[in-house]
Amino acid sequence: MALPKRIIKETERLVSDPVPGINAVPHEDNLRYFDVTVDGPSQSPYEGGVFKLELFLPEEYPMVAPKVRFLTKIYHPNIDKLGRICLDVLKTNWSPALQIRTILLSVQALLGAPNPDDPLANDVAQRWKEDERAAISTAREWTQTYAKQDDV
Amino acid sequence: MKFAKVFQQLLDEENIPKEWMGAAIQYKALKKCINKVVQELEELGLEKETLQMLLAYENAQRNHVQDNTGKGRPKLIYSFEGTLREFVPKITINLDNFNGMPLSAQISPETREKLESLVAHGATRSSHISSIGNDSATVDTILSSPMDNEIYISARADVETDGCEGDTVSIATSTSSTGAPTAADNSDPSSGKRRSFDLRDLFKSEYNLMQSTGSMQVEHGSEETKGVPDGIEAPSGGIPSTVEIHLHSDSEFFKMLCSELAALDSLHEEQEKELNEHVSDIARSLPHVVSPVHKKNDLYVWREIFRLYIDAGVFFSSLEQDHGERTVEKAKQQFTWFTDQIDRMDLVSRFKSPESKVLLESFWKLNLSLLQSAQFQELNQTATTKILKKFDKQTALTAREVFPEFYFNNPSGSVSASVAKSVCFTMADQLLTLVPQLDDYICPVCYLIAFKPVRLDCGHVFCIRCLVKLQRQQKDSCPICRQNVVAQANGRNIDTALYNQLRLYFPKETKAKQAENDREVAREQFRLEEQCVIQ
Repeated sequence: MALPKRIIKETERLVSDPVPGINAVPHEDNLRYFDVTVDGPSQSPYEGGVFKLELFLPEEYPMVAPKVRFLTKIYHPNIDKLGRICLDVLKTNWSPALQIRTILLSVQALLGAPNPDDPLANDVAQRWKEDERAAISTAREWTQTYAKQDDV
Repeated sequence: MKFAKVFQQLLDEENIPKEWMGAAIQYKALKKCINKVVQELEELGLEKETLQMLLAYENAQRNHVQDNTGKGRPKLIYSFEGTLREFVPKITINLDNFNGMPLSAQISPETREKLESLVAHGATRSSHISSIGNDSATVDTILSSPMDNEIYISARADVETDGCEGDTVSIATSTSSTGAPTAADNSDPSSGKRRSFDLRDLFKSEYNLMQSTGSMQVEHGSEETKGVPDGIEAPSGGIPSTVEIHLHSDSEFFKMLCSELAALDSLHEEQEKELNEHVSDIARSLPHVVSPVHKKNDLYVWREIFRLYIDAGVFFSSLEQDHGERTVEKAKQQFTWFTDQIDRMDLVSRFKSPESKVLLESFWKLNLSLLQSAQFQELNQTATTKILKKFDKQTALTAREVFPEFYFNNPSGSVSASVAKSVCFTMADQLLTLVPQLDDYICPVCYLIAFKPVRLDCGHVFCIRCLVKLQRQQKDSCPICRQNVVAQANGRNIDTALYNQLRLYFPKETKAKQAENDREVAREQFRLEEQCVIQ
């Protein structure tokens, strides 16, 4: 089926007016599948890292949320080993007026504001609560190890 | 290449109208004036190196916690006092009350020496000026006896040639007595005043320089009131006092700069008015050719033109990465892109009304005038920045930091906003609104024209198809504001006025959307039937 106008327009704008620190490019053979990179926010343990994600727009989009997943390993209480993200706007709080760019901004914001009280990765969240300093330092190490631009 | 040359060349190249030239920053004249300031400072023993040292010390002090010994006081301050019409730039140096030295021993011996000689310099200078004679200089120096520890030195040079009144070269020093000032000194200023007058008389007879006693008295009164509170407010112990230096050429430089900036401001105001009128002219005529009520209208062509113009963002960018006002160079590029697009799409040939062509030309001219005005403004801004930079470089003073603050924070100094900003606002407000753009009327869910438009009770508008889908999903919250208003929406939420407006201004889009809606409904029904078959 032809690609809805909405997806075409969103993709056009992602290219013509990109969000600083966020990059999303659709696959040539599947325009609903995007390769994404998000820069770790400054002042966070993810600063300096470039994180790879995949984003998929289901058939019902925008009536349902896009599927987003981290491909780069990341130490974060709301992101699990498989890269799945615990973020309200991707689940219950999705609204069809949200867009690819706003969702990716939310993901980037989540990196800057980890929420260990609503965990997805239980072990990480627990460590985050018990010894935040150590957890942040691990997050920083993982960023250095897995999220440096050269590896992407 | 020297900037003075570049500046002149650019003014010539850009075909700046002759009548604007008079308002351009007189870079060369200002540059000459800087030399005078440098010379004057040198005569006072305040060479660049000396000032640099004092300023460097001040900056270092600022970053430290200030202590009570008075060492934390800035050693040298360069500031502007007064209103734009009547102001004096002045250099204030804080002195140690023990020996009349600048505070703290952290300055080099040479600097010390120079400042030490400053006090005595008044006298030297007086003889120097008197020897010139021809610019009617009056120098008046008052020295109270050293025992009193009160020194007022004031050198005044009235230069009549430029007609400015109150050009002052004055060195006013007040050093209060060591330790606790004697009560008499502070509580009885009149006695002090009398004493200084006596002393001045003494000087009068000695140098025979006094020409206008009246004005001198005023001068002295004011200097003295400045000096006395200094003594009072300072705590006993290390009491710092100050030397205030008003340079004649310094004032001359900034008065010249100010009057030029003011002239530029009024020129810009004039241009702004003219260009805004130009916009209004076009806005008055445009409805004739874009009104959808007329059969032969150019609505779609003009919509395309304005969409391209908005996309080009000639003067202001609305993109994430470089939003804000553009440089003139970039604005020119964007405008070229805009005109190229019009040519490429051959929009002019699609005009049905000959008036449209005239209006487009007028719109084109308007933008060119605006570009030229912005160019002139930018050139002068660069010249102003450069001349202040030069001033600082040659004198080691801090005009670049202090002057713009003084000029733009002054209520009488107009905040010289860009002409482009004002005219672009008028354009967006009066002109572009005449042709509604599709982007302003799309459904935020499907990005197609919001037709038929349903206005939820929260005020947000969606197309009827998307609303039906939301209701079917049993989502009650508005996609924009999350208020629970979706379920309760029904036929009364159709915005009829908007419906009619969309049909009038977007006949093609509404028809296409209606067809799309019908197709989708048909598909849904087909799918339902198909499911039935399978079941």
